[in-house]
Amino acid sequence: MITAIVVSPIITTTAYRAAIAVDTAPSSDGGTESAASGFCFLIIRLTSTLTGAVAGNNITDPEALILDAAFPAVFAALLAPQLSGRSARYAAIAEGTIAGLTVPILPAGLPIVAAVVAGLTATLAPADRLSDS
Amino acid sequence: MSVTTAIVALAIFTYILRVAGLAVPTEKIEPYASPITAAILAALIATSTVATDEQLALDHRVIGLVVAIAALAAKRSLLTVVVAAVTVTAMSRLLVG
Repeated sequence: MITAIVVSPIITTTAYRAAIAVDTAPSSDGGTESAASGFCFLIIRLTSTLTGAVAGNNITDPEALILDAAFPAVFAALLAPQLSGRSARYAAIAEGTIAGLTVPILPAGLPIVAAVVAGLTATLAPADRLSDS
Repeated sequence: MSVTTAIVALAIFTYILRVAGLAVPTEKIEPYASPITAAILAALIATSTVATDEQLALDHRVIGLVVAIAALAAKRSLLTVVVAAVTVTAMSRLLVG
């Protein structure tokens, strides 16, 4: 549990930061643009967290609203544009399988960390070593 | 420990975690950005589909995910994908129980 609390925000924040770095070209006006987007992000994040904290207590049964079925669909829609090649698709399937299979044996949150670690390890492995084995 | 102390401690701890993420040089993490986000999303899809209270549970959500993937393969919009998945899951629950 402690590990999940410590590790998962670092991974998500790092990935988020990297995603911004990849998507944003160097801006001409220095830091103004990123400061503005950072401020918007802060406000939206705080208000939606507050909304969730207040409204979440009033949702007694997520299944009644079928919210539990909406989450996988939203995540799938976010993932789909990134799966450009066959290897990316295989990687996603493998990572999903690892996360699903480790749910019963790992504490909450850690299956996702396990899938990320496994995925990164496979990504960083030299291609020739993979083809030899 | 009082509640206030706990909140302040948690705030400081959370802030340090965030800064730790930002402190990593961008060029070092850039190659891993896409694989990490893709891995997190793939893992989230899996856990939100088959996990219930830290146990594996195959239920109607799987049908919803299949519909969502089919809709994505057909290049439908985000809203269409989610509505289709939710509708089919609800119908499946209603009809099969």
